Amino acid sequence: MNIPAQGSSSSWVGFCYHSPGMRHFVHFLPIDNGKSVATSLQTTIRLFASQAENDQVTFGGARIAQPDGIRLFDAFPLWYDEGKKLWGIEVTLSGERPNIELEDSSCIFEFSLGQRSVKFTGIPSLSKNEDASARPTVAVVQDLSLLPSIVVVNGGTVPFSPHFVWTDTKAPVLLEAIAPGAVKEIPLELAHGREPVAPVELSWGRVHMRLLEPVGELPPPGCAVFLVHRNAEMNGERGRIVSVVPLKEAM
Amino acid sequence: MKNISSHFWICTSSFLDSTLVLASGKDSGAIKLSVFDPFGKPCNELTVTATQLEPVVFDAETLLGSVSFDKGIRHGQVVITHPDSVSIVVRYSSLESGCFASSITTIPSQGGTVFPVRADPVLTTLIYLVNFSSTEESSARVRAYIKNRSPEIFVSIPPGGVKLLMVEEEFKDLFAGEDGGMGYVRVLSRSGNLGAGVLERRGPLEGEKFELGALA
Repeated sequence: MNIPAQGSSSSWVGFCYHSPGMRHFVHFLPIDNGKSVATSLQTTIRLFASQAENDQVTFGGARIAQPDGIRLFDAFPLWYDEGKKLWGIEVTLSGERPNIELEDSSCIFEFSLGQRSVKFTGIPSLSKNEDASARPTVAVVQDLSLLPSIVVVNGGTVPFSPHFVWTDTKAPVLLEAIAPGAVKEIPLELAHGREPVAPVELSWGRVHMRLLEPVGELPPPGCAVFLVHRNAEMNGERGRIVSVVPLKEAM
Repeated sequence: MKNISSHFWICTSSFLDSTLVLASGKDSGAIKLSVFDPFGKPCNELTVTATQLEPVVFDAETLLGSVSFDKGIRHGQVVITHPDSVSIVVRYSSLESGCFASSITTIPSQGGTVFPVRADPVLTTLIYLVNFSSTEESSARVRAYIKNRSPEIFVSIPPGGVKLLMVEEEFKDLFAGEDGGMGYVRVLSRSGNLGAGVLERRGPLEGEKFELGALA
């Protein structure tokens, strides 16, 4: 993990889903606390799928106040030989100037297939939450066309056990620890007929809703959780990812 | 229980619709929704409660009432004042597709916010700029970057109002002849009261389908 030195770098965690033909991009806007100085920065991108599958590249050229991006294939061509997989990504912007402050910078992840694309903001590697009990609940929605799941990314150095419970039953959702360097998607099923919350009939069909409550300790550095929705295929199977919401406040 | 304010952009039209979903981990107490039209005029206000077993759902049509059309859609800002135990998402939907977004965050006064865009004939990119202040006008510089060009426009947003930018229209000259080109739109505002999000509509794709994508 690229642990950012305070005030000299900034890191975000994200993920991408890889399947043949898919393209992935990392976009970033480096900001030096409002000082639009033409400082050149280093960008480090780390890609991982397990402890053994871990690779990183560093390149220069990013400039303060200039939006920029990179296609992951250009940095990690060998990774594209493999089949479908979830990859974790950590992006670090860093500057050589000692007084540079990059924490207002931002990072966006994108994956696209053909003309379809999904974009979402990265989660800072270091959680800004200080109080584990003050984290908000997360509304999870499932309908006829969108099926929810949770993607857990562990870009850190210690196992990560994100603990969520359903607020209505207090039943746990995630139990297993995610190993360092691993990324895991956990499908959430809200429509198996035993939920305490009755579905709502809306113009676009029957909608199931429940709340997830984060419990336990704050995540270690480099870890992040995303709420993902996949298209429901005709046969009820989970299709491609169509929506990603980073759970920044819940982490 | 602490009360917080969340801001959402909602819209309704024949090709794009939205629904607010409010859920609470416990009996919520009062949740206040204040709806403003694109010019910041209050057009609806209501107070609801949500319980653990009874989430509250509003479609935009209900909340927007008689708000008139702006750029082909009816839209506005919803300010929701709620206890922090209440969780809210918005679902944007077209006939064939949908996506979720969380509340709009304030544009950082240092550096602004950036959205990746692509010059693509099947893509319509809609940026919404939402003024969180109910008393002060906000302004923003919106700059598009494709290759070495970076034209800029200035916009002002009335108190409580929303400004919609169709990127491909606003920067027509920049996008012409750049099929497949990648670029960015950066929104800069020092007001501290402005939020922004983007909604992409792609289509028609194969099967004459349209797809939606959101980034807020």
